[in-house]
Amino acid sequence: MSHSSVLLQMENLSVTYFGPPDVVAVHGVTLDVKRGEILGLAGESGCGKTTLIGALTRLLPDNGEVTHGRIEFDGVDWLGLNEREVDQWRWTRVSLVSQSAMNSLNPVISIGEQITDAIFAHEPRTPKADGWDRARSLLRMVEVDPSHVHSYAHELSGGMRQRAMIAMALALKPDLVIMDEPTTALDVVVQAQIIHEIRSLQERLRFSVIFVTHDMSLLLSIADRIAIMYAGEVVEVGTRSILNHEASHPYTRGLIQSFPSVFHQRTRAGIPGAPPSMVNPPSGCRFHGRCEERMAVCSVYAPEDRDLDGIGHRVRCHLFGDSGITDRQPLAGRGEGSGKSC
Amino acid sequence: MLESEQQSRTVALRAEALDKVFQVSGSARVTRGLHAVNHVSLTVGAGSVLGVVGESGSGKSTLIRLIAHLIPMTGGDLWLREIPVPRRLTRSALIRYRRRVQMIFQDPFSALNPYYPIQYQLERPLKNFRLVSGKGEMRDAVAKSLEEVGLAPAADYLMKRPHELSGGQRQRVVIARALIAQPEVILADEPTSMLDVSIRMSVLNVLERLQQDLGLSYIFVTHDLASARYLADHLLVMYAGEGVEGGQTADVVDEAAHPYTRLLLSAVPEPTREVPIGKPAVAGEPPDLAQLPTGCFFHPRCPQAMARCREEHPLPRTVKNEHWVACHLYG
Repeated sequence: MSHSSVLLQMENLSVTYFGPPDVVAVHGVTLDVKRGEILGLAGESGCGKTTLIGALTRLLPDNGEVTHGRIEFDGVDWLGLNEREVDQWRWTRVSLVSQSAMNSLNPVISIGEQITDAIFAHEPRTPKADGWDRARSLLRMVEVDPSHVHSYAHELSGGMRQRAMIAMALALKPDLVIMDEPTTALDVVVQAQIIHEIRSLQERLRFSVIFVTHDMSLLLSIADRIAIMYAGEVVEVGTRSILNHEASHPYTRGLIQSFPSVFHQRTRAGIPGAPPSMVNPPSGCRFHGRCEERMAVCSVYAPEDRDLDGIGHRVRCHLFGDSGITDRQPLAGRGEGSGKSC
Repeated sequence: MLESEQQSRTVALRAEALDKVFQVSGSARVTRGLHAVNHVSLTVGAGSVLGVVGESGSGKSTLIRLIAHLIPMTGGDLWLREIPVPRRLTRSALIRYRRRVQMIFQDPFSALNPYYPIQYQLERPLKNFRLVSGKGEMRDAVAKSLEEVGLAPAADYLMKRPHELSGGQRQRVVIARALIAQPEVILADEPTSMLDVSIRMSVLNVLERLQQDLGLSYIFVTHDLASARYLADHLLVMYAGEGVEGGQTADVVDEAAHPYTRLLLSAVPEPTREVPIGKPAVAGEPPDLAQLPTGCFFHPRCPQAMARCREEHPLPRTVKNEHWVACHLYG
C-alpha cells in the first residue's frame, strides 16, 4: 500500500534498558520517514541513536525493551509482529548497513556467498545460477567489479567493502535502508564517492534511507530532512534547508557551530560541557546544563514539541514554548506554530 | 653563522627527506618494504602551527612518530632549533629531546594510565625531567597546568582517575601532561577525532590559546581539512607517504595546485556550498604502500595525468612564495 507518503511512523517511542540501573535510552521520540527520502539522524555518542535503530530493526539487546509508544511500518504495527514475521520483513522491507563493514562481513565466506545467502533464504526457489547473477549485478550496481563475488572481505579495500555492504542491503529491494555511520571509517574522498553512490541509487530505486551520523556537515550535504537527537530525545527536526538556515534549538545551533569550515576562517566555539549521563538525565530540559540561553523554567519543566512553521519544523525547547510558562516570545519572523504538538 | 642564529629563532623544528620503510612479511616468507614515509621535508616556524593532512595510510601518523623518536627513521635528518638531532640518541639525549618535543595522542582513553590519579600522571614528567625541586613547587606546577587547559579549580581533578573524567576532560589532561614539561614543540596526532563533536571545538580552542600564550609550535596531524584550516598557519598535504603540496594555509586551500589537494577539498562536506556533494572527479583509492606506482604516486587516480607522470617522479616546485607543489603540471 503505497498510498500514504509516510513509510515509517514512530509515535512517542521510549526504550529502556533494564539494569540495575534502568536506563531510558530513548525518550518520547516521534518521528516519521517519508517514502523515497533520506532522513538524517544526528547526535553524539550516547544520545540514543543506536538504540533507536535497535528498536526500528527489532534488534535490541535482551535487556532493552520498547516501554512506550508505537512504530508503524507501512501501516502495520511493527512492534506487534512476531519474530517469524519480522524475519520475513528483514532484507525485503528493511535492511541495515552498519558502520564497520570489516566487522559485519563474514571473513571466511566470499562476498557472493553472503549476498546470495540473503537471496536464497528469502526466495528459496531461486535457481542457484540466478542468485549468483543477481549478486554480480548488485556489485556492478555499486561499481564494484563483479568478479569480486568470489573475493573475501580482506581482499577488498575499505571503500569496496562498504559498497559490498550496500549492495547486500539492496539485494531484496527493501523499502527502507538504515545506514548507521556508513562512512565514518572511510576517508573523505571515498566518503564522497559512497555518498554520491547512495544518492544516485536512492534516486533511481526510490527507497527510503535513515542515515545516522554525528557529522552535521555531512548531513547538511545529503539528507532531505534531519532529526537532531540529544540525550535520548529528538530535539529538532526539519528539512535540510531549514536546519541550514533556521536551526532553532540551541543544541542544533551549537552542533552546527562545532564544525569549522575549510573555506571560511572564523572562530568557532563548540558547546561547553559534555553530554549528560543517561543513568540520571538532567531535570527539565536535558540540555539546560550546557545551554547558553537557558531560562529559569528550563531546569524545572521538560519542554514539549512545537511545530514552528506548521509543516514539520519541530523543536523541543522553551524558547519556542507555550507562552504560559515562559515570558520569552518566539523569535521574530516566526509564526506562532500550528499549536499541534505531534 | 649569523644567518643560522637568526634561523634558530624563527625555525623550531626542521626535517629533511625523512624516510620510513617497514619490513613486512608477505606470502612465502618474503619480506617486502612498505614505504610509509617517503622523503618528507618540513619546517615548523617558532610559534606557528603546521597542519599535516592526508587520508588514512598517507603516512601522517608515522611521520610524527619519526619526529617524536618513537620509531627509528630509515633515512633523513632532523634539526631542533637548527641543531642537528642524531638519528640514534643516547638515553639521556633522548630524555632531553622528549622534554622539548612532546606528543599528544589521538585516544585520550588509552593515553592515560587508568590506575593512577591525575595528579600522579602530571607529576611523572616533572620527576622524569627533573623540572622542579620540592613538593610545593611540584604542586604548583601541576595545578597551573590543569588550569591552563581549562580544568579549574585544579583541586577538583587532582585525585580523580581517568575513568571519572569525560573524553574532553581526559584529552585536556593529556594536553596538560604535554605542557607541564615546558616543551618547545608539540606533536598532536588527531587530538580531537576521538572526542564528541560538540566538545571538539573547545579542545581545539584550548590548543590555539596555549599556542598563542606560550609561543608553542605544533605539528597538528589530521584527516580533517577543516580543523587544519582552523588551527594551522601552514599546511603539508600528504599522499601515499609523501608531501605533495605545502605552504601557507590560505594559499593551499584557496589556490590548491595539486590535483590531489583539489580532490580532497572537493570531497569535504561543506553545508554552505548549497550543492550536495557531487561525484568526485576521480575513482579509486590510495595505492598499496608496498607496491607504489611508478612515476607520480597519484597518477593512477589523477584526472590530469600525462605520459610523463607515469615515468618520472615529480619534484617539489615553488608556486609562489612559500607555496610549493610536487606535480608535473607545474613545469
